[in-house]
Amino acid sequence: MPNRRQFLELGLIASILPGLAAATERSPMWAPAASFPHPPLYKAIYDKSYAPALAYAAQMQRRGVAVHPIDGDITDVWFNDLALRWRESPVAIAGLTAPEALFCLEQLAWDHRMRVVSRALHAQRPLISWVIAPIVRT
Amino acid sequence: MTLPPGMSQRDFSAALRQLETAVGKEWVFSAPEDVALYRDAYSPFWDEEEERTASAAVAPDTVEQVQSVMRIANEHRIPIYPISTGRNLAYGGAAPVLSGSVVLDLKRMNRVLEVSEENAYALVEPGVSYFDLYRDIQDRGLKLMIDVPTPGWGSLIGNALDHGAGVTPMRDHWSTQCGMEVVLANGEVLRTGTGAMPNAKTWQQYKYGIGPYIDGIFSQSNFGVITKMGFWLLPEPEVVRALRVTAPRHDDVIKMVEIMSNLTYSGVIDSQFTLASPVLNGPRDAELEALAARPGGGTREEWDRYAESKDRPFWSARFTFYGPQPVVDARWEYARQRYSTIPGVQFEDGPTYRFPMSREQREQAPDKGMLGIPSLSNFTGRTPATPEVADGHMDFSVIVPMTGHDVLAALKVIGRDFAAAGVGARMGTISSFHLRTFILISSFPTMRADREFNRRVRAAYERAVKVTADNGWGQYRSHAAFMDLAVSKYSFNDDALSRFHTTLKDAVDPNGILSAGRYGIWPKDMRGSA
Repeated sequence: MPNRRQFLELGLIASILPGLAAATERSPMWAPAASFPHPPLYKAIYDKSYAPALAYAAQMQRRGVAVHPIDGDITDVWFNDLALRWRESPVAIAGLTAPEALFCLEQLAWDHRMRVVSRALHAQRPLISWVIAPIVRT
Repeated sequence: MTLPPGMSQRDFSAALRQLETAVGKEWVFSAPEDVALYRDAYSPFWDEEEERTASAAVAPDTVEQVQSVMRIANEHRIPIYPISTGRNLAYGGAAPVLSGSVVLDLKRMNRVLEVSEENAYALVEPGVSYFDLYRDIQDRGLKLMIDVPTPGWGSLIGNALDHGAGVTPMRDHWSTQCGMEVVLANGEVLRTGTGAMPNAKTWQQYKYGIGPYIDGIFSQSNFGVITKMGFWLLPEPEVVRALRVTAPRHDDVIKMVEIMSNLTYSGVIDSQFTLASPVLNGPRDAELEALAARPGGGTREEWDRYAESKDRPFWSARFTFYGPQPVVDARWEYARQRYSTIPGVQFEDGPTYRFPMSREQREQAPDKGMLGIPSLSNFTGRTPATPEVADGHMDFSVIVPMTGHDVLAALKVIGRDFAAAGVGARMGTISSFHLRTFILISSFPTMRADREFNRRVRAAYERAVKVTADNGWGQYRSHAAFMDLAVSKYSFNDDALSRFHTTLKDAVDPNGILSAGRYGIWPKDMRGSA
């Protein structure tokens, strides 16, 4: 089970994610890093094919989070951005995408000791809201 | 928590502590949420008792650490399942064949050790992905092209070991590997080819060394852990140019393939070409189903009328040529001339790419695989228009002789079988993955939340293995859940080949710690009971 500090850290992430705090089906398997990076989110990924994702991106930008659009395919954001950033150190990202994009990022994040710490189905199928963050041993 | 077979929690915990000492505590994963990441994401047994799951995972960083893991595994008789990156998703992913195995995750061994532009080769560790090598070559501005499978996030070594393929003249990844380093089950390190010579100068240029050539026994097997492998690369070509050929009639495939094979064996075509039937691979309506169900699968006249009524050519082929411009143009034109002898044939000049390409040109090129550019673009199944798709798929890959008669037979037999199964199995194109045969890759969908559907898919998959084997078409690789079945079809002379494999297994891995059950090779105490 996550401890109180970890709950607080996840709450910190969730509090800046539009619509996530109330809707999150928290994975029982999450455990964000004890020394969570500041700012907590390196980037928010959104699928520009979906109207709710556009709104999500706008909200995230208003909250000071850098955003990156995809069109289903994560190749560009991963190869030209995340892979280079994560090579330096793991940093948290969030997103509102189709499940395939999350699946790819989840696999790639694990190579850098990061996991999906929160995922929630969005009202518009097949969108899913998620957070990937560094892990520590509990 | 899954445990290695026959092992107590206490003993396993003690072994894990030894593994932590060997590789570092943070690189031994036994928490359920960590081990879950090694599940087969597309498993046809998802959440069922038969789903193959790991007990833990360990991620070494060096050859010495791999050796330590082997010694600890032998001491405790722990089954170990090495993966390079574990992204062979359509064939079982990172999940072990034997539940309870400890996954040996080689992702941290991701160093590009050497790239020679002059002699066009690379030496890499198992965690190096196609993206990694591509980035290394691009960052250094080397005039080399890599060959990538789809998707491109897998390991060069892992893909080659499973006989995977791409598109370019270097597409047969096993045939382009040259020299490897192997940690044996007893922890000893050996190098193959000329790499067996201390200070060898040609490890990545001459495969055979001296004496028996053993590299092949480490592919699709469980005889060692590959920690280094060399690969031949393609000098960056001046030009890549494609050609599409269509032919209108059912029987045109005989001549089409005859020309294809001759051009291949003559060296005019040296990259992958694909053959598809817009009719047989296309939408299946009631009329087509009725034709396919007739004895013999319908006459050629009936098929020709059907194709004409749908305004579809019966056959479509695509070729790609690589090299200097005058050579590419000459080969392109020669292939076109040869196909001009088929009445009604039509040509489409495919895209032509000239090198060097800028970064922007590479990123915007639609034919990334053809250009050796890795991509994940095929993970885009769901769209706003199609929000519901299968959760995963199992690939079914059959080796078909390079003749038109065999192509026709394979498409009809497999198409009929898939239609009867009623699980939405999709027949793919026929491609020259390897040098002198066709591979017909088909796809069986899987659904995480529908066990009954998965049960029917598994039955259909098993039936497809039987039907194709009855026709003399074996599989070139197998999904991990069906390896025993796939290998059972290679049964000449009372399973002489399998018996030879087990003889080798007993010799090089007497405790049976490595990849139990991979490609039907089981340790002696598990044979017959798996």
